[in-house]
Parts: sequence; structure tokens; C-alpha cells
Amino acid sequence: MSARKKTAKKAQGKATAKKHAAKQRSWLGALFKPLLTLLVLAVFGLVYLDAWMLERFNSKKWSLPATVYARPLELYEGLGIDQADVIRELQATGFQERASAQPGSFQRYDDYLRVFTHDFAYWDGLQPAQSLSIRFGNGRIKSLQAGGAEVGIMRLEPVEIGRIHADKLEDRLLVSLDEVPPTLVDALLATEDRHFYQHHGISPRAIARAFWVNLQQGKVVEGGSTITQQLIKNFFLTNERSYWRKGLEAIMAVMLEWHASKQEILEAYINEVFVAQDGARAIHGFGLASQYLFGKPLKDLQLHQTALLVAMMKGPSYYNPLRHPERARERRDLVLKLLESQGRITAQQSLAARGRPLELIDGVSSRHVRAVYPAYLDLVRRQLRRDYSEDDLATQGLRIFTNLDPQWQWRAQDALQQGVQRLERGYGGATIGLEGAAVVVDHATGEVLAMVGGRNPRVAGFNRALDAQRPMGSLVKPAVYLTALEQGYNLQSRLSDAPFALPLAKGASWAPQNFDQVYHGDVPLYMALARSYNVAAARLTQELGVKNVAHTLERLGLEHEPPAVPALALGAVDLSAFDVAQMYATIAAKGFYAPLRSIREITDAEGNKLKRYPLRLEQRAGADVMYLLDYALQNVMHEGTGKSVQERFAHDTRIAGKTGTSNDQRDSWFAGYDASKLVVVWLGRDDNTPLPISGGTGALPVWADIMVANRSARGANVAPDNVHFYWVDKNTGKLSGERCENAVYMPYIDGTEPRELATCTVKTNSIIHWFKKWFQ
Amino acid sequence: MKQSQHLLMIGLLALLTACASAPREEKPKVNIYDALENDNIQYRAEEENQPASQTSPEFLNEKIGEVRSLFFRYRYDEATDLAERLIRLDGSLAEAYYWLARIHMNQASYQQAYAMASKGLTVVQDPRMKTELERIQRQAQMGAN
Repeated sequence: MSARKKTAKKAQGKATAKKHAAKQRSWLGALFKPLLTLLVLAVFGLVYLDAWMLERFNSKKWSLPATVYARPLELYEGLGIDQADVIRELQATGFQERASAQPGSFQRYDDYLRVFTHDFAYWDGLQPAQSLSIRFGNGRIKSLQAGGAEVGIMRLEPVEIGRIHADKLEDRLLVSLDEVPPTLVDALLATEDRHFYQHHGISPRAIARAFWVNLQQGKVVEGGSTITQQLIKNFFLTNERSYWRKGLEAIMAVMLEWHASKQEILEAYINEVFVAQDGARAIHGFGLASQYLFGKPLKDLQLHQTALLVAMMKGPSYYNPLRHPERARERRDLVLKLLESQGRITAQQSLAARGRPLELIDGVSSRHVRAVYPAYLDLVRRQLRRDYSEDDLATQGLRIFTNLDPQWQWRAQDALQQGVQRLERGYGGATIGLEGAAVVVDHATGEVLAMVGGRNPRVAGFNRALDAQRPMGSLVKPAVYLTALEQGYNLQSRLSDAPFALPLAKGASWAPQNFDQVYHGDVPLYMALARSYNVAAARLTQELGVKNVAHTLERLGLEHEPPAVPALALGAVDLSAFDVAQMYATIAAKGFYAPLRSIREITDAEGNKLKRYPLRLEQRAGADVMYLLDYALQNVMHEGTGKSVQERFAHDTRIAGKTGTSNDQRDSWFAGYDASKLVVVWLGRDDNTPLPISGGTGALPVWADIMVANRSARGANVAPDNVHFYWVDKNTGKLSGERCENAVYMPYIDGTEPRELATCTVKTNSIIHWFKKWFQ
Repeated sequence: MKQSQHLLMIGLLALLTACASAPREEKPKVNIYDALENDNIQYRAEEENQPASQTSPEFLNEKIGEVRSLFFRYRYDEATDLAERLIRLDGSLAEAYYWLARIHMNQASYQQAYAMASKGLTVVQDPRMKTELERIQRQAQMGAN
């Protein structure tokens, strides 16, 4: 081998090595670029994920349903209310009778009540927790003290009547960590993540243990997830069991731990966790779970109760204490033993807690409160939709203060249920399937105080008060007579109630009949209304102009002017009880139309005022004609179709109203009012079949049952300046005198009073008169 | 027993005498104005005006004073809130409508001011308050025009 050859071989070797190195470099280069791209993408992905997660975690952690409240009960000296009524309202709010003085409790004595309220944020500020002393006497509040000092007026925190959820029906009540009892945190950490304060989002130890257990079992039985990982899964991910999801969960858990403190994570977890299912509603967070199960705030729970909440987390349905109390109790005791074994509680504490019963709230509890007034809540929702989107309502935690008055609501519900049952008993099978609706309104303000949508008021479904559009029958007549009074008639104007037929197209004719199938000849206007004569009303409508009557109906509050057909005079227009309430509220308020309102105020979750629904008035008819119409409607109760209930009311209570019965007695109506409230009652069948009841025998007694308990029924009834009373002969409508026979005292608008004098026969003592007649 | 029978007989005889003494067809005709003299319209109107509320007048006056005070401090929202609360307690409290009318006037909401004053006039009993409400009504009308 020559040296040249050696050199050549060396050079060749070098070239091969170079070639090989170059080849290697090109391989690496080819790999490096995609790897770098992947790395860059991964970094961008992680940065994006991190930003997205953080933004969602910080900005809007949960969908908070809107909470809907009844009106707060305003207590003041002189208020007409019984001790029992106040107690019923307190219990509906979740107050409990206890010997010890703690917020949310009351103590009852003979004529005396002590109430310990919570802090409550109203739309106009916070009312701090107070100790109230209320003394009762003669059905009224005799004295009212707060913290030992006399006070003018105090609000009782309102009953929560429902929540407005998103479609998911996820419900929760947010709590801050300082409201969470330490025993709950201990139980949570003991069962779910005992090294929570040591790890950084994931716990390799827990993962290794879970891996080993799963390997031994041959299936996945343990997850090894930390509280942070569980939060990530609940909050951002799905329940899918895959390595990809698990990996992502671990990465995000580490990221979250990087940004958020342990306390923030714990607080989020406590509010997020799914604890129980209540029908279609998912109870999330321990705050709501505490109210749902124990009827009290989370901070007031004791060890055995917090242990139960934590115990339920393993299987909210399986360990539901309402359905499986024994199973839930066993699991609770296990949690208590675990706490004891980890040294978080003493053996003595554990034993004492295990000896306690579950102590769940019983009876009519707050957990069912959302379903109590579905008809009213339906009205609130419909009125809210005008101003808020469904999404806002279901997610922003709005607080909605309504006008629902639980006292009136209960009264209306009870009266309707009992009335329907009474009629079913009284008429046998002829009234089977009878349904009903009722609406109660404060006519001075237009506030809807109560609404019942059916004979089973707790059952949500077809809301008859709003959606059952039924012929209003004779309820239309006040509009007919108001039109007449506006056109110069007076209460004594003679109307003809003689046979009458109106020619229609194609040779047909319309001949209205009276309910009693009798014609009454000439009758005074007020009597035609009191006795609800159809023929007189139909004739009068023709004289006044059907269009004018239709327009009056619209002015009184109907949303649209009804079709101007002759049968309008007898109520051939379909309305709901709510529509009727709007119309009669205007009549009761002497011609002042106030749109019916279910909502008073709305605040955001922090208590900032968002919207107020103020009183708005519009005068739709003159005070003089309305005064006369009111007088005539009072007469319905004295000598007309409402007479049968008159004696149930105190003699100085001014009640007025009108019966209504549709064709073939398919609908029974009564709309009536006193000085402060209006109540409308409808009875009928959903399939619209005839009934053996009229407005006077069906709806009227139910109306009286609701109305008779009103303690603010009296009120001033001031005649307008241009209205004066005269004694007139009721048979002729001519001027008479107080001592004359057949004299009635009637209001007239100046210029419409009678001028002619009646023949006066002086009244004699009625007993002597009777004897005289007998002997004659 | 005998005594009570006698008493009953005497009573019956007295009644029969009274009936017999009245001629069958002759009904006493009196001048219509004699009958009207006994008619006291003012008294009847007062009877119509029953006690308006279950709350004491002192309590309502005190609260109306608060509304007034809030009004003069331009705290209209609070004044409105309180006035509406008072109407809930007593729907015939003319003073509450009066202050609502004034609040609406100051907010240039003349239609509402007019409606509130008109409503107040349907329940007012105090002549001075009535004059005030009528004044606001006129002002609101002018404002609206």
C-alpha cells in the first residue's frame, strides 16, 4: 500500500463521513422544522388556553338565575293582621320557631311575637338584622318595636317565590369562603383532596395510588383528581373518560394554580359542585344545598350537617337523603369517621355528630318554594321579557322584587279550591272537571297582588288567569252603561226591556233574551245594570252605537278595541281573567287607568338598582260619570245579582261588582271591588262544556270568600263637585223626598237631575203598614 | 199569664183602632218641599266618607313630611318610592298624589303630573289640599301645552 493510496483512502473516508454527517444534518433539519412549528403551536395553544381559561374563571364564573321575591310585608302600628298570618308568612320565608334568639327565627307568645330577622338588601338599601317585638290586639298590630325602641314601619324580608333558570336548570346560591363553616372545608379536604394545600394542581402521589388501585381492580375505580382538577372538569370540560381529557385537565389545573390562590379555587369549587337533583333543577354549590336540605344559611350548619353535604357529593342521587335517608346517614357517618381518623375532629365530636339525626327541613319547605305560585311567576316572566333577554334573566343573578302579596295569594288559592270542591259536591257530576282562575289587584296602584291559574294552584301548566280567553258575558255591561252616562243618561233614565229583534244579513235576526226569560218593560238604568237585563242592554247599545261601546271597552283597558257587533252588548268578546282585571281596575279606580304590574324593582346581584316600575296613571273617563257607575255597581250588591253575599260584609264596607254568565252557562264570572282591592274570579271547564252555575251561584261566593277578609276595605268616596244627591221616586225617576214612599237617594251630574215632582205618599211605619194591608 | 193575655189584647185593639182610623183611599198628600227640607245632603255626603285607612293619621302625616323633605332636597326617586308606599297603605291619601304630581311637574312629566293631581282630587277631603291639587292640575295643563 503506497502512501498515496493511503492518503486517497483517507480522503475517501473523510468524504463519506462528511456525506454521512451532511445526511444526518439534513435529517435533523427536516425534523427540526416541524418540531419547532409544533412547539410554537403548542406554546401558542397553551397561551391561548391559559388566557381563555383565566378570562372565563375571573369574569363570569357561574350562570346565576334571577331570584324572584314577593313584596316585603310592611309592619306598622294599626296594620290589620293576625299573629297567625305573620307566622305563616315568616314560615314561608324560612323562619323557624326556636327558643334561642338567632337570625331567621321567631318566638311566639299569647298576643306577642318576637322575630329575629337577617340582614336583607332591598332595592333602597340594606336593612340590618333586627330583633322585632310585635304586639297584637283585635286583629291589628298594637305596637311595634325594633331593638327595644318604638318604630314607625318595618319590613319583614320577603318570601322567595321562585328562580328563573336557563334551560339547563342549574341553580345555585353563591357563598363566600368566610360564610363556609370550617367543618365543611375539613370534611371536603378529608374526603376529596387531603394534600390540597401541598400540591400545585395535580398530585402525583394520588395519581400513582389511583393507578395502582385501578390496576388491581382491572377497571377505572379511582380518578386521583385533586380538587383543582375536579373544578377544571366541572367548569370547563366534560365527563368524557379519555387520556386526552385527563391530560388537558392536568395541564389546566396546573395553569389555574399558577394564577389563582388556593382560597379562590376552594371557594369556586364550593359554589360549583353538583350536590343534589330536585326534579328538573340541579342544585349546585353548598350554599343552595344548605337551604334546600336544611332551610338555613350555610354558615349556620353544624358538623353533622356539613358532613352530610360532603357525603352526598359521591353520588347525589344515590345518597339523596330525602329519598334514601339510611344510605345517606351511613355515608355521612363514614365521612365523620374519616375526619376523626385524620385528626380533624375528636372522637367525642365524631360520636356526638354520628348520634344526630339528619335534621332535614320538613313540611312546606323552602326547597318547594319555587313551585308554589307558578301562575304569578308566569306573569312576572312575561312582564320581564319586555325589558330583559332570557339569557340575562337566567345568568346575571338579578333580584326581582314583585308585588305578590302572599296573604292574598293564599286566600285566593284556598277560596278557589274550596269553592270548586263545594260546587262539585253541591251539583254532583254536573260540575266535574270544573276549573277556575282568580286575580287580585290593588286598584289604586295597578299592582297585581295574587294570581291563581287553576284549581290546583301549585301545579304549573295552563295558566287560566292569563291564557283562558273566555266570553266575558255580562261583565261587559258596565261599559255599556258608562257609555250611556257619558252621553247624558242618568241612573234613573228609563230603558226599555221589551221584546226586541235586530235584523241581520240574509233575513236572519238576533233576538236577545233575559236570563229569567221574562221581559220587564221600562226599567231605570241602575236597575237594568243591577239585575243584568240583557234586552235592555242590547237595546241601549243599539241606541248608543256599538262602536262607541267597543271604544269604551278599549278605554277601560282592553288591549284592542273589540269587534263592534251587536252581541258585544252581551259580552261576546273573549277575555282572560287578567284582561277583565285590567278593565275593572280602571272602573274601581274611578276612571284612572294604571297598567297592571307584577314587578316593583329590579336590582343586580350586588344590589344596584337596575329598573323601577313606577305608578303611571291615565284618566280614561270623567270622575263624575265614574262616580255614578260606581254607585250603580254598588247597587248590584244591594238589590241586584250580587245581593246574596252582601250580608257577609260589614254594613259600612263599600263593595261593588258585576256578575257574568256566558251563553249556555259555560263561564261563571264575578268582578268586584272594595275601597282598596279588586278581585276577579272565573269558573268554567277547559273543554268549554255548559255548567249548571251562573256568575251569581259560581264565581260570586268564591269572590266573597277572598274579599271578605280584606281589612283595608273602607275608604273615602268623595263625590265630585258637579255631582249631587237627590231623593227621587224609583218608579218614575221624578223628584221625591226622604219621607216619601219609593224614594231613593241617587247621585246626579249637575244638569241631568230630574225637574218634575213625583206624587209623594208619606211613608208609614212598616209594621203598621203591614197590619193595615192585612186588614184591608 | 192572665196579665200577659190582657196586654196582648190591649195591643191588638190599639192597632186595630189605628188601622180603622186611617181612611182606605185617602193617602196624606204633603208638599214635596216639606219632604225635601228633611234632606241633608251634606250629612249624607259625610256618611259616604268612611274612615279611609287603618293607619293612624299621625303616622301618615309623619311619612308625608318625609316625602316633602325628600322633595325639597331633590331626592325625587326616594320621594316617589315613599309616596307610592303610602298609596299602598292608603289609596285615598290625597297628599301622596299631591307630592307625586309635584315631582312629575319638576321632572317636566306634565301628563303624569296632571293625572296624579286629578286622581288626588277624586279622594281629597281637605279644602286647602283640594285648592293645591287644582293649582297643580292647572300648572300641569299649562306645562303640557
